[in-house]
Amino acid sequence: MANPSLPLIFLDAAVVNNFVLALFLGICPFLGTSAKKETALNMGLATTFVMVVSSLSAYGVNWLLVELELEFLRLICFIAIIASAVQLVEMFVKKHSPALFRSLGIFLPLITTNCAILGLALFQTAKEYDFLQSLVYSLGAGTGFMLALMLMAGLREKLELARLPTVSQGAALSLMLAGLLSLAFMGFAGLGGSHG
Amino acid sequence: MAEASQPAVVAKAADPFNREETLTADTFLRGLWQENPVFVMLLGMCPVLAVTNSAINALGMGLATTFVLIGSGALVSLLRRWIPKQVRIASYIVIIATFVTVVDYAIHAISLELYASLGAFIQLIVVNCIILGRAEAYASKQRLVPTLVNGLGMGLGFTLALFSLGSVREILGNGTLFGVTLFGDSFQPWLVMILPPGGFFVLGAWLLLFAWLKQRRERRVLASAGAAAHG
Amino acid sequence: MSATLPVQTGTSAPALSPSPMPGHEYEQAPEQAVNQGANQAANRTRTPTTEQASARITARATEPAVEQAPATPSLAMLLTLGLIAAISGLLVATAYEYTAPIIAEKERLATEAAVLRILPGAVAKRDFVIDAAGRLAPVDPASGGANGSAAGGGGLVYAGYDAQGRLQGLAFTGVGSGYSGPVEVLFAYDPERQLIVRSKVLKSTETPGFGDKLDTDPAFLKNLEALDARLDATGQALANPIVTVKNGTKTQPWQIDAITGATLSSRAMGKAANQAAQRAAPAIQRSLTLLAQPSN
Repeated sequence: MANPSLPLIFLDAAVVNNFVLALFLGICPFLGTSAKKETALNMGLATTFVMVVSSLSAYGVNWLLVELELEFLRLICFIAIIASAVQLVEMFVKKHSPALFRSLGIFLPLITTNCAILGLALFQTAKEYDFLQSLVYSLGAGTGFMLALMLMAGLREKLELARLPTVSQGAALSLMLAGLLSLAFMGFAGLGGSHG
Repeated sequence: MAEASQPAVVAKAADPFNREETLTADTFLRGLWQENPVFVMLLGMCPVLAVTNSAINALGMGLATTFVLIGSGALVSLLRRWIPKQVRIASYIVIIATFVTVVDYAIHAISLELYASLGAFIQLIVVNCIILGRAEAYASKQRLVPTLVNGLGMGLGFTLALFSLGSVREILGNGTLFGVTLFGDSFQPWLVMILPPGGFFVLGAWLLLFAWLKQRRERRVLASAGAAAHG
Repeated sequence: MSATLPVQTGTSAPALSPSPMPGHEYEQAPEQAVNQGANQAANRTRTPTTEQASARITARATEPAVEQAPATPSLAMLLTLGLIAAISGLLVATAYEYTAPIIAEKERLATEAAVLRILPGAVAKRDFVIDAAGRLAPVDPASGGANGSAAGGGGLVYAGYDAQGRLQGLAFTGVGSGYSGPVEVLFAYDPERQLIVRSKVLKSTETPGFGDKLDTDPAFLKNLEALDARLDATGQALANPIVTVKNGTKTQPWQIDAITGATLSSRAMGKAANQAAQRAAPAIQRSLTLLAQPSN
């Protein structure tokens, strides 16, 4: 398999195979925090940070597990890494920006259950990316997540002012919107050409 | 959505560690409809959209999740008095990850095709909010048998939701159900249904349907209450 | 517990994920909105994830005030975690030990079935790996060489034999990147005529309805019935690399006519065929005598 270049990896993770809209990872926070642009941005940044930390730690731990031939412990180790990374981010955010900590509220610990992060760790392991590739991959994934979140937030904020049938308000509408966004993002398929 | 169970909620909050539930049919049935994890609580969304591009995938995923729900719930319930509060989340996660790993191997051994279709999403059951949530809210406080029953109910409710999505998507997007062709050659499959956007659309449509039914029921209740008041 | 939750104030930004109705307030009168908010807040106390998180926040904030057992000693915590780790390890290891042989066997059977299907007339297969000298070397399938199954890239070469032990053909895999990811294909190769004679897609995530035509479109499949994979004079590579061309422009036997509307998927097939043939054909041609021998 041709070794994909770093910009292509980034593009692939952010847009072509967007984690939310194409791979269906991170839907819960996607629906939950996309009501306001500011929340969306904060959540996106926090998630990206956790993603990068987890991704690099997962790379290291996976290397160790392979050396020790303990691959069957991979899942448990990865999830432990993610939980720890989230703890770290929580402490970091709490210390440096209590306002941000309050505004994110319950969503910060909930990043642990964000499938996108575990998915990221699992995919990068499956694709056998090296350290630099993993870094770029996680940055791309985080950017893509943030992009999807912000787009959704923008749309939903606009829709708040619109007159809508009451049955559709809430999750049904968000999902329809997400479907349209997903459809739009399908247009990026094939971008990057020969990258597998 | 559940105004009637508010007193129960408040009571539960009052003495969170002593209120152990008696086993009733409701323990099981709740998970199927009233507290359906997907349609009502909107939890565990990722697999719902990702693996429902065919009915068999949906069923497989649902049953796998049910297995993990029951297994991890059972272990958490058995160990509930010994798990210290401070490390409970970490403990639950390790227990859940264990069962997910087991079910991963099991599916791989049972059917290579199913394993290939479900792919990474089997391992992603670990971060399915339903399971962690149930462990925290229920299994850690209830005895073994109610936990098992409730887990079964929730798991089946989840499977039901997955199946309703998977079957619609497969029928419309492929013209088949469980691989059996339903329509004649002239049927042009609605391709988007088995692609990612289709997942969003179909789930949105189901939620729309339920919201509409609920609204209709509420209007009827109001209308009959109004009639009773006047009459 | 509900006191610590951010109560809905009637704006459309619920702080909590599971609530499905952020826009609900707009259809109701203000006092109803407040009630709705209180309802939803109480509702959310049942929602598992918020209970968990709010319990954590409560525990942290009001530790001395919350009625609980005296602070659990570290030893107890360690013991519990240790116990859980032990149970967990036991379960996982047991499951792994039990299922690993079953999985390996299933994959071996699947590979065998795929190879025998693509080489009609073959009833048995032998596995070969390409060694450092560029020749084929027999490998025992049970030992799981190179992932055991028909792995893409540097995978195995399979030889199919009929009941009399005569070579029926060879099969090898190739991988090419397509529209939405890598496409793995198994090719049947005729060593005498140096042609690829059949293909079967093993793994693909191409768009259903377009990409899956790679296996079903009759006109496309005709391309692969006599795909030229001749070696050049040095015997190190193909004389003409296999390439996919635009639909209708095929002129040479080493070209593949793409499917209209599925260009990238068709190109994946071309890439896979080229990669596979470049890798395997030279080695096969160098090892013809070895291959002709009945099972050793």
